[in-house]
Amino acid sequence: MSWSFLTRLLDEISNHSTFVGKIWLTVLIIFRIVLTAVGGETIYYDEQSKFICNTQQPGCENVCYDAFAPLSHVRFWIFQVILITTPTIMYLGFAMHKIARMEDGEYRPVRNQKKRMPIVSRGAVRDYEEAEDNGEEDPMIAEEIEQDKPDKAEKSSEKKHDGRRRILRDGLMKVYVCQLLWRSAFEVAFLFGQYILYGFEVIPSYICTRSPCPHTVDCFVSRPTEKTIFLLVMYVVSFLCLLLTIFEIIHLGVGGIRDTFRRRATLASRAPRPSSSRAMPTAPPGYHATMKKEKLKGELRDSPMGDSGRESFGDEGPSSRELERLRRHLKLAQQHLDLAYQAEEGSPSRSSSPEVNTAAQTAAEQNRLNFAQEKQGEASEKGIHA
Amino acid sequence: MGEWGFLSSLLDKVQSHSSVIGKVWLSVLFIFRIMVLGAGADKVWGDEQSSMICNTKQPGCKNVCYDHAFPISHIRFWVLQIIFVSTPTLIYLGHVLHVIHKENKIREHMQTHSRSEVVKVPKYSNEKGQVKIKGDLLGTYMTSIFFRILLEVAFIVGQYYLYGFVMDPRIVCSRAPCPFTVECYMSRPTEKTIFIIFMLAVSCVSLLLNVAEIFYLVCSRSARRKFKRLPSPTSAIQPRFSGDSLVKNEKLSLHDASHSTA
Repeated sequence: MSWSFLTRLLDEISNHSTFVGKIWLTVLIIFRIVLTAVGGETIYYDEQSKFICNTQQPGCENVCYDAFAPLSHVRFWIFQVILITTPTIMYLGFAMHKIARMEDGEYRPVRNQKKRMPIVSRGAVRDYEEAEDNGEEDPMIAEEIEQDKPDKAEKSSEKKHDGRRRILRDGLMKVYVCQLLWRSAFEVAFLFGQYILYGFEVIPSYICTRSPCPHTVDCFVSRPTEKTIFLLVMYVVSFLCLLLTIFEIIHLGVGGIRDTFRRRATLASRAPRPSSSRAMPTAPPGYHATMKKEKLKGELRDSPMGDSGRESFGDEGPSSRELERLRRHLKLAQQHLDLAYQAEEGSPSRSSSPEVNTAAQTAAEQNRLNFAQEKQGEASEKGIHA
Repeated sequence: MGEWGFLSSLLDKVQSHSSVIGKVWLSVLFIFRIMVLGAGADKVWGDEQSSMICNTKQPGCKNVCYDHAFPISHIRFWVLQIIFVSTPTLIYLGHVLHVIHKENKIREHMQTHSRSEVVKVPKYSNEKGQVKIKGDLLGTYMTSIFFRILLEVAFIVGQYYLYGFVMDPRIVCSRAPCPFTVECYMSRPTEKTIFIIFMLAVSCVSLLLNVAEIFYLVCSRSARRKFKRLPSPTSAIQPRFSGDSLVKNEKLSLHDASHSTA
């Protein structure tokens, strides 16, 4: 049985599905393909040779078997698996085509950017403590960018585009849902067809009146109980796959609704702080890393004070205690700010290597000031609320 | 019937050098024809001679009647169909590989020699290894599709003349050494009919895809010709299409790199 091609394709599909989609794929491969391949071979191999009719009339057994099983169970399940995976395979083809086009379009501008400002992007990403090495690495940067290209091309083909959010971001959600709907339509159609063709049971004896059989003839099926059990198992598995597909559709719908609610909530919460939202996007990521480091150092140093401050929370005293607590919070915040100022005064000496873009430096300073202002605002708000 | 590995690997290579419809055609070929043939049809036709029963005890009669009824088994017929229909595509693949090989040599030549010595410029491929289907390559591609269409039609008509589309369970045979007329009964006629109709439907879908691909290529080619006839500002926006501007872009980007590292 040449199932390896299909299983290879399905492996690829798992990189483009949501979590529920991966469960569906696993169920499909393990329960359906393996069961059909293994069970089909062993149970149904003698279905015609052991189909015995109580007549010696030549040809009667053939025509009676043909009337009993116009399409064997195994072939039915093979068609079912192929047709049910077809929408998913078509989605895979479409997704890979679209992703290849997308990455093609994004590729050129990224390459130009990298060539014009390689050092700035590297310096911002790294910690300021490592910025001393920048001078030695400059001659390597251009070569590294050249080598990055084939790596990037390879990585992009291996990159996963799975998960609901990624699919949404890639603009493939509509096609994804469409293929899910087609899949469920096929599943329902095949379940119905299976019921019409085979019912729920394989009867042990079959009555045949087809020519050239003389009048009525009794024919006997081989392994009827085993076939009945297998048939019922495949019914349950098909139904399970259908449920998984429907659950995936619901999961996507619920996820989408939740995302819209979250977006609305974040929009509402962002409205009273316009300054911070303007400042944040321009800060290079390395800046935040240093800020976080200083914050941690500051917290560690002040922890005894903080602990003693917190100890006073334990006893629920009068409101004056709460005021004390808020004042201590304010003091802490101001200490953090002082530490941050000191750190910034120290760091310009390190980052004064000529390669660092001065524009980025002034932007970093501006962001630091904004951040400090924001912290002061936070502390004063807490004081007001007390 | 699991020996499709070599053909599959070759057709996989073609997939990246075909148009969109070509890729769909290849997928249809793989999934609906090769897979169904290997996974299902084998079992149905496996016992076609051993399970055929004739109502005579005359020795040798069954053999000659089977031979008379089935000059070529359906399975072998479909295997031949798949191989013949894939052959024009494989010839096109050969041409593509030849083109890629030549262009790689031109690129190496360009890198080692100065600009003034370069006479030939890569025409079909770019640095990423993508090949554009145009010029000679497009001609080969369209010829391969045309032959594919011819072969598909030939096989569909041949199948009709050999067997028809429905299998009758009863075969009437009067070939020597059978005594006068003898009735033979084949095994699983209905299942075979279902498979025959399925494979016929897939052949027709493949045929339609090929016809659609020819129309698509002709339309896109005429659209590209109209586009080229437009005035120059539009062509400057998309410098990718001509080989000279590719070289210019390389020069510009090199300049940028040198400025940034200074």
